Amino acid sequence: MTINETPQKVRKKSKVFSITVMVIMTSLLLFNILKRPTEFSQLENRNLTQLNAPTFTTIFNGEFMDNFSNYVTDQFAFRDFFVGVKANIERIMGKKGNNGVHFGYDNYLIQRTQGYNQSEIDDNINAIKAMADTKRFNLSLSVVPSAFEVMQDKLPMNAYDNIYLRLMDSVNTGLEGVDVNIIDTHSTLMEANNDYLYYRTDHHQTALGSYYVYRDVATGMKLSAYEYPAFEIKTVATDFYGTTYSKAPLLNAKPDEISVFKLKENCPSYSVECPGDEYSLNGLYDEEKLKEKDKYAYYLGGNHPLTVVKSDCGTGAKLAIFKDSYSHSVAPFFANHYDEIHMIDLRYFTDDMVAYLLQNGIKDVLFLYSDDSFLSGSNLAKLGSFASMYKYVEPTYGRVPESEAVDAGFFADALFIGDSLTKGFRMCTDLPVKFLCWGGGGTTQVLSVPSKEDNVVIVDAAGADPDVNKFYIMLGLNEIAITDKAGYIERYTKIIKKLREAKPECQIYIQSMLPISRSCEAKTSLSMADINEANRLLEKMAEENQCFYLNIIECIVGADGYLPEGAASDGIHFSAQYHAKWQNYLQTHTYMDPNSQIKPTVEFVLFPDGGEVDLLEISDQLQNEVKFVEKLNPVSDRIISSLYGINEGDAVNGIVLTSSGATAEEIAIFEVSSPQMAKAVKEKLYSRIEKKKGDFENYIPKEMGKLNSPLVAYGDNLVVMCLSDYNDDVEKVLKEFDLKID
Amino acid sequence: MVFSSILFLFYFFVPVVIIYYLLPQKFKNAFLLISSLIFYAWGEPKYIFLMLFSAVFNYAAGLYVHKFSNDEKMAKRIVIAAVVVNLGILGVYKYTGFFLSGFMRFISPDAKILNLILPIGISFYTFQALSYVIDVYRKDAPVQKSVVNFALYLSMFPQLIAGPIVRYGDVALQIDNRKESFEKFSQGFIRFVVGLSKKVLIANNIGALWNMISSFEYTGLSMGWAWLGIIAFSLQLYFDFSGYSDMAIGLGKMFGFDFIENFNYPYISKSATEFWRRWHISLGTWFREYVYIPLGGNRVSKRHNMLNLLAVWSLTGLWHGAAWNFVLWGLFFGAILIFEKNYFLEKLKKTPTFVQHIYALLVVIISWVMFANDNTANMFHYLKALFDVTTLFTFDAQLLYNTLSYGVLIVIAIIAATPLPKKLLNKCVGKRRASVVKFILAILGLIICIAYLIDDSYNPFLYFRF
Repeated sequence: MTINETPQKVRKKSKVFSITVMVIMTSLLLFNILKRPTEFSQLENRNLTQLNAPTFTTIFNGEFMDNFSNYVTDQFAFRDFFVGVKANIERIMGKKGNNGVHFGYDNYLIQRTQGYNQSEIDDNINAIKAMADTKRFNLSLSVVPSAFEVMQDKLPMNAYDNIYLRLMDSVNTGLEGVDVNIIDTHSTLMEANNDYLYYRTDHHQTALGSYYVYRDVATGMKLSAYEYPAFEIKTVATDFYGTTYSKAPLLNAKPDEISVFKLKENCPSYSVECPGDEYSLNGLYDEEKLKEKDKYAYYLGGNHPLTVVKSDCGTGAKLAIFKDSYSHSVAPFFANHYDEIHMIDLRYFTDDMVAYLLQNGIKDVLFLYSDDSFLSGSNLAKLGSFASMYKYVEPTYGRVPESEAVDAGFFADALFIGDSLTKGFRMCTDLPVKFLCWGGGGTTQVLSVPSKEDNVVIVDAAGADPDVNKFYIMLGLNEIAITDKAGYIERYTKIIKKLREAKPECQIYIQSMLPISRSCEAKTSLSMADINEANRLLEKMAEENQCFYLNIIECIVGADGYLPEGAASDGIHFSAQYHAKWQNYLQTHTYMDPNSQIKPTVEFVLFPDGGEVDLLEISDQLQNEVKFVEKLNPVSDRIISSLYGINEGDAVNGIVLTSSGATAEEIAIFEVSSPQMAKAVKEKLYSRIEKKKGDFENYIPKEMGKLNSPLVAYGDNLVVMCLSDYNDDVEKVLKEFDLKID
Repeated sequence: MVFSSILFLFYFFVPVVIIYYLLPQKFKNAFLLISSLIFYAWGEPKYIFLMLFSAVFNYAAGLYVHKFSNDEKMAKRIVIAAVVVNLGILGVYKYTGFFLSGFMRFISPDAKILNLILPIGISFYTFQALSYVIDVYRKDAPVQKSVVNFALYLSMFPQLIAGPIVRYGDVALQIDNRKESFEKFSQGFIRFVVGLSKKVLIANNIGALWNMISSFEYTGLSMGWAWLGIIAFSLQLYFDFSGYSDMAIGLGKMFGFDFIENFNYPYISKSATEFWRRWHISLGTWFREYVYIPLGGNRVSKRHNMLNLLAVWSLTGLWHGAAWNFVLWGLFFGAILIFEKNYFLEKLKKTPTFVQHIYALLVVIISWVMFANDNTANMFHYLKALFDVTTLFTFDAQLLYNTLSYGVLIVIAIIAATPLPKKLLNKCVGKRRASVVKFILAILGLIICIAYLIDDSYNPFLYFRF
């Protein structure tokens, strides 16, 4: 039997309830107002919104209200508790995940790989193709599957998607015939997927998972990888809750262990430097990070634009890795094989990376990405735009035309091979060259006769000289009259091949045979007809065998087609005056390899016509009036194009000033000629900001403030973006230039 | 500002309640008005002036209508002028683009169209203003002498943005003289939390599912996906909108107001006619009172009546949004209602109850397909997918995954859309403890809502467009 409550009782209870509710809510509000705002959420590993002081503009356009609204939501007291409540309720409600993280079996929290994006994949493929087209590097690529693929048994039913396999199909097809070594790690990881390959609460691989990746990749790169027993394994932390836990902080989550693999024997000593970030480590690991929330940053100290890992393993080899954070736990293994590993994070590295590789003499290049970041945000396209400047140019072989005179230094690595004529040249020239020549010499001797000095066959001696990279050859006077020309050319070709074998990248200059005088022709079996015929054959041979042909005869021969009578006493071996002509000919007929230059020969010009507005005046004013943490420096047109996706014709003129990468500060000013153009440029500025947000979110989250309230302004013919902490000052400057804030 | 936000719950609601209850009676209305203006200005600082204009204009119109209450002709002229101005403003801000684009298409295909941002709540407060002027003219309601009180009626923050559309006659007395009490406050608070939970826990979450499915290509959509999608949308729409009405009614109660109910379990209807007695009641009432009845109501010839109904329903459709699909949606309901009224309803009533339920839900669901798609081609693709049995038995892991993932929520939502939970609560708990249980549930609900608001990834508000 139930009894209805009396009105008095209801009133009393209502009073208690009303007052309780209001007291709870008021105290929560007061607590929120009085507590200091948190800058950074350890749990979510991101910066929380901060309150910006309102201005008239921000109130009127609603920006302040949005900011305030985000601020109070982000800064709400007991935030972590509430985030946890939600995740756990979602799980109870049968949801298979929260914030893009799946509730997997065995306490696995697995980030869903999503966003299959063909155009992004194509960009990456094109970038790698462009790198291959430079023909300067040995390229390897490995796209490592994330837990979503490898630990698919742990996913909720039907949650699996074969996105990795589709991605790899596309990559393999796209890179068919391209000179890049694609290394598969998928099969090994799948076989071992009962092991602890991925963190349960983080999207990265464990040290063990990284070891498997290392073993496959190293083997693929023809290194002899260390086997598992060679390592001593040490666990350094057992209380790691990573990024997937932050997105789905379940009550039953199990913390992860962080461990390191150390070689038991002959372990080199290591160091880490991050130029530009003023960060360095003794060894490979940052112990401090174990005290923080993001313990994965223990490996190499987390994300930096450039991380140089050095070791004294003594192989002398250098490796560059274009990478995401998956590499941080893989690179330590490679430090046992390479003296230097240059890890470049294209999200933050904006200089010419190809030049960087060339300057540092790096030939081995590895692209190591997780499927997730290969699908979005690898920024490989940036690399592609630089690499395309270094496209390998096929040299033009055969006869060398007249070129600008080079100084003697050009010949510092040259070796002359020849007979008595070359011997004569040796006496007269002041070029710093080496000689292998002797009277009466010919192709047969070069191929078979040991030199006097050390009893090595001449051609081998020539090929073995470590300082030599250019060969100048002149042979034939002693043989064309007595042997058949086919045999002569055959032997000559053999010499070329032998030299090439010894030095694949050397330059070989075939010098023409030189003329004889009319009287000499009469006295000997030599004839100008034979010489001219031989020269034609030599030129053809040079062309066919990727050599350069120097038609020296043209600077010595007289008008009648013979060596002038007074030039040589015997009609063959001429005097110093002619040697000077010869030397001059050599200096004015050289081939400059366009591939050997680091700076691109053709400057990339984005705004060929220029504009009418003095953009520098605006940027100077901004730099003077607004406080920037760093000094901003203008970047080249090439970089403007790759950062902003602006091509010729998209804007009339433009300048961009960027920071070193340690802050998000940036100024971009574009001159435009129509409202449509302004609109298009504005969109590009905003997409640049979006992209930059993605780059900085997990990198230097405290810079996110600049990106979350970017300042974009425009006028009749200008569009300006300024990323700083002082929008009020920026506005003041831009108002002077009659610009409206967007 | 929206109710379902930390900002509103703590930084607006708490101070407003405290100050309101501390103030003496005579300042309460003025304070509520100021609070409402701040509430409105928070999201829409520019359009506050438009609303203030509307308030002053209609206040004056009311005074004049009253003044000439003995001069029928003059009063009528004033009313007509007021109607023209009010609908004019609504027309300019809401329908310019719609009519121009229809018109301009004949002139030039790439003509530029004036695009105004729709001022929040304009559809609601315009209708309230009209109801006032007309009620005063009809002498159904007394004239409001205080401009503050009138502005408060128009802009009261609980129902400003999404109704219910309160007729002036219904709250005239309450504005001038109402009584707050702890009972009302706690009832109001509980009602508010119920509404908040409907919005935050059900509508937002199920909306994410619809959001995903509606981004698919509709050609080739399988039957399973189509049904999952439209069920999600139907539930989202109901819980979003009725949740908002609950919050509005609850908030009103906390300040001593009694607003009319706006929803009454619409999905348990047994016919389309019944559905419209249970769905957005205040809008239906408004159109009946101010359009349908003035056009002659039921007392005209059958043919005339049919035309009237179609007119009323195309207007109802157009009210929901400036696009053709809404007109089509309105006409669809108009047609079904005429059909039911003149012929079908009697037959329907003879069938078993479950047949009636299925019929009503089917009609509603088809109407939501029209409601959700402003592209006619998509609309037909979707309708086709709904009945394309050939795609029913193809295995689709993603569909299965999503069905399982959202299954519990959908079942809970369906149950919550019926009166069952209320009955259960009243039955299971002895009435002696009913209030205590409700209080505890309310506090728990609030905490969970806060958790979802803090970690929100999807919190749209559907009725901002109206």
